[in-house]
Amino acid sequence: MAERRLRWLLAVVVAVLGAGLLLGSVAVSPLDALAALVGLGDDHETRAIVLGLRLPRTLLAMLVGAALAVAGVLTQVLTRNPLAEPGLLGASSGAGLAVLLLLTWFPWSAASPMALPAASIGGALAAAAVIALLARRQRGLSTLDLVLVGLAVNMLFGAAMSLVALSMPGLVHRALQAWLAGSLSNADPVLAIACAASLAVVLPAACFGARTLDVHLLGEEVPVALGVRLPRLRLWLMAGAVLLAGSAYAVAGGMPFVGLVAPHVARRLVGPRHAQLLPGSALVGACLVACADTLGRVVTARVETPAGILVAVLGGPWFLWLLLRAGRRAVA
Amino acid sequence: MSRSGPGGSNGHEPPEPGALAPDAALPLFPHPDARRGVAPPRRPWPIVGVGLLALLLAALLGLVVGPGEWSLSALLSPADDYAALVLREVRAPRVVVGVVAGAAFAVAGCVLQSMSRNALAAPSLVGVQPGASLGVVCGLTVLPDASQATLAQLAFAGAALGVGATFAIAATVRRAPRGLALLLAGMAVGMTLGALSTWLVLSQSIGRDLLMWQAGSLAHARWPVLAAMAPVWGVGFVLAALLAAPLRVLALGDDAARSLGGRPLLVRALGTLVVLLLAGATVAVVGPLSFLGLLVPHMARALVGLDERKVLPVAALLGAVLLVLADAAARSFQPPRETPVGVLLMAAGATFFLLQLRRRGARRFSLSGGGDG
Repeated sequence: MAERRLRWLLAVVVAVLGAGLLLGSVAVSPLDALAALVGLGDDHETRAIVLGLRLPRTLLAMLVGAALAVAGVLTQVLTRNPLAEPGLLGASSGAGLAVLLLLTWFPWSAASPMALPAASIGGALAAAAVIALLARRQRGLSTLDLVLVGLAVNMLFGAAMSLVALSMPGLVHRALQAWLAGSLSNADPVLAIACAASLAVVLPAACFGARTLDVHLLGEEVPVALGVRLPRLRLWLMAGAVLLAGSAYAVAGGMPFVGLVAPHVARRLVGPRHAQLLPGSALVGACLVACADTLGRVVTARVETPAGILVAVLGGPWFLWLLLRAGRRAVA
Repeated sequence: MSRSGPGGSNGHEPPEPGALAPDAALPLFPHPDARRGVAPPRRPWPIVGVGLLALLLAALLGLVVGPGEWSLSALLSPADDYAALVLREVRAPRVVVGVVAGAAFAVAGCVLQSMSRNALAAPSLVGVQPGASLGVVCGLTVLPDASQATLAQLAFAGAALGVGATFAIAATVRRAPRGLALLLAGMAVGMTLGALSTWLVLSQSIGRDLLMWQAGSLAHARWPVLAAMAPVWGVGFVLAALLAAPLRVLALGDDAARSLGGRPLLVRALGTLVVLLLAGATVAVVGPLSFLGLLVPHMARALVGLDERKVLPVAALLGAVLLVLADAAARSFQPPRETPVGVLLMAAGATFFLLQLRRRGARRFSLSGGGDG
């Protein structure tokens, strides 16, 4: 049952990829797109658009979505809390604060393609390190402390961001808002390598240890009784989640919601076992962000709507619909 | 595989392996081993007494602090000079609203966290904040010169819409623990409403005004607004006080609570109503103050333990004191400019909370009372 759903999701993702190639400000017919992909066809303009612009961008969107979704699953396992998202571990607020400070002290860096992404990865890792240090107990990371410390540190960073942003000129303000909304229009394909690399490392490792992840949800004593080494597992979970989220934020900005809602949608579709939930969430996340990005290119006439906003527009109702229909599986 | 604590089992169907079970219910009579190495929670009366005193001092501070030199006698004197006018018409309602709003938000957060047994639950997650934001954004879009009173009414209407939708959806969710259903529905509704309002904001460029509103400020608190919202707050507080004991029973889990004579659905419905009344009215007047709803309940639990009958009053006092002090600080930080109070709250409160956490450990006030990890 879950396998069938996974295959269906894969088909949806391929369809979304196709839509991403076809839709946009310039109309491209399916046949032309297919010809361009395969290498036939002599329409250079179509080939440039499809292969040079839309294909990399849609693939990048899928990469970001998958990375954030898997980071979300890992965060929810680590904290045993269905409301957790990668931002709880400091990734988004750390990245945001680093980006804001960079824009404040070096306003011209907004033009450089590498400066903001580097700042966001650095900020995400630094914030996560702070949270990990504060949440450490004698026997490794404590789940409870992690949630509460993450909350508090996020609030601190958020307050710092607000204080700095409110006293800044409008230009910096707008750049920060644009970064926070999450958009793929300035995404550098080079950064995709970092994102793809972290996904390629973390996702298979997590799937390999899927049973361990399932067990971690059973509480504090059961995993230990079953031989799981909790401190190491938690450290790996946190590192994996922050790495994925940080690289995704470096590419696309502080895209909200994906890490929160994709695991829940996937749980409703393929069930809660992580062997299916992990790939399922990756597919759902890829689908969400790619759809949002394509829609953002299409729906407003001349200006692109940032993908991050449309993720909420798409993900919210999708999740709502899944909640409302009579589920055959427990939602937990 | 259900988690059976010493005081009773969780009450709902066992989760599948790998399922994200919500935090297990805390038994009413904890097993001695469960609190090994942790000091028992203190009696609340000294804390309540200190809290009331602190509130009085904070209120006085709030009246006195700010641009200009006012003396308290001006408050009571019948003279109509400028000093007395400022104190009576501007500062006094501001302090009163600060007290009430702080207490209301903290209590709403407590009720919600009790109902959902989730440490991350906050009123903003069940549709209050996204709904209120949407109301304000619609208001600013349609009537760019809307008065504060109108915006407050629109915000409350929006919050009611958000919470109503959340509760309606949560009631129809099948096969989910009730507390979790509320949060998930709130997530979905919140995302949808938030997306709507962000879209409106971006297309209408009301960004700056909305950002100021979102930061939260007591600058617009006046007697008429207070009078208009007072019944809402009053009913909310009374309901919350009545719900304290039933919430305690609900902590055993829905089935166990039912077998003890409780009515879980009614308690949850009333609890959601409390959250709407208290948090919705507060957000409408002051703007969203996420810290109060999210962290103050944790701080109160750290002081007096997990019994809602003790936690609610302590949280109310904490919230009131914090908000009034933060507002006074916001006015004196960079006079005459006002720093948004929400930001100061978050900064100071989060620091304080982190210190508390390092000192006592989260186990002390977690909602599940589990062992160390």
